Amino acid sequence: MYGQLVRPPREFIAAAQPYVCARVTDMANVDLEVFRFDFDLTLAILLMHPDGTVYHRWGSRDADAADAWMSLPHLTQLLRDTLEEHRRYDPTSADDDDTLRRGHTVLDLPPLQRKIAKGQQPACIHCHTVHDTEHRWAVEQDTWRRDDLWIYPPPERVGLQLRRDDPALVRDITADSPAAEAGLRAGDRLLHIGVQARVGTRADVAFALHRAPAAETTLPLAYTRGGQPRDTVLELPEGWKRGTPETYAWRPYKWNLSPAPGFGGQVLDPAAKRALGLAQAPFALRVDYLVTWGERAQRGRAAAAAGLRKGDIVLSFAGKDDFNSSEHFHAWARLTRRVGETVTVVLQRRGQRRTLSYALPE
Amino acid sequence: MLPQHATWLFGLAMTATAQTTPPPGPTQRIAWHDLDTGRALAKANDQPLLVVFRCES
Repeated sequence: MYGQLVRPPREFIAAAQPYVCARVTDMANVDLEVFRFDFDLTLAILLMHPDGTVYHRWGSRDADAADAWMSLPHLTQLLRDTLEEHRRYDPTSADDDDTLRRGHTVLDLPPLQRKIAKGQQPACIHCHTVHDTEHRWAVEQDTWRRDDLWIYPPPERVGLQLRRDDPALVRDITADSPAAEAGLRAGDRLLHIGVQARVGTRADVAFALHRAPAAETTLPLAYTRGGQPRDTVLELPEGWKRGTPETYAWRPYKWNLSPAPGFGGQVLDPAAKRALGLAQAPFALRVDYLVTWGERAQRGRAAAAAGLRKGDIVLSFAGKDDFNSSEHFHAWARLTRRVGETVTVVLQRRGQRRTLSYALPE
Repeated sequence: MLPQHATWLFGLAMTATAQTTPPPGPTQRIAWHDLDTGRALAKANDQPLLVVFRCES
């Protein structure tokens, strides 16, 4: 894949010509006070003024597919449309010398500084490393709250179902949702929501939702219906950002959360299950590792002390046996269990069923 | 988790040739810059900035 040379279509190249294009494959020196996006994504694009004002964020995914929201025609049109926003933009009044002043980077955050001091600097700072480090720092400062895990809530969380080829346009509204209560309808075109001055993408809406408080709040929203501008307010109840383990499973952010099972491995495919006489088992995860190393070694040690071994086939965890993937299993454990809770694991080892229990450590 | 995105997106990010100046003549490719250079160029020329973040994790 890396060596593949693929030229973008001519229309895209033409639409990109008015832009200065930059690419980033290492987050080490990126100014985190300017460049903010959903760092769990493996690809994101910002369209912005060089003073740091972001016009649009492009790059979004849902629980089912990583590329379902990546429409090249939409991105091409967004590039064209954003030129007009750039022409109308009133630049910041900040001193010119300050415009390009770099704010803090992930390397400035103490959790990563400590790793570097121990000689553990990663060769490349991945996007999700920013999330990991900011999460760790917030926990250490006691500013992280449980609802903070619900980063970048998808628009569907408030009832907004957007069109994939034109995400500012409402495809449908979920009944009894905040969007429905606000009077929004299919066919409405979103103009503005919360901190997002102009909506052009699904990621723009997610960014506005991300920046809104997780507690009960209101979010102003402007839209057009039949060409006429209208204003409304989303009334968001306490806990409105919360989703489900199924929709959260894809996120690398989940690895930051406690508690954790302390082990992991591969979910067996149907053939592998049949070979072990487990054809009817809804879930079968082969334990490939126990986390008995590093800063969270207590997690794997607790499982090991209870008797879990590499090679065991886990059939249920805390009474649940219908995980649809390893990621779902890990997300469910982290989102629904609590530190100190005793969980029961049913497993198969050399054809024999066994049951073990242990308390989930921090 | 690389194979998550459409091929052209990898092309967009991975075939980029870091250049400080665009090639002469009709441009058939996108001239890519590092972030600091790109931002400074955009500021100097009052152009908008397109920044691609591609993470391979």
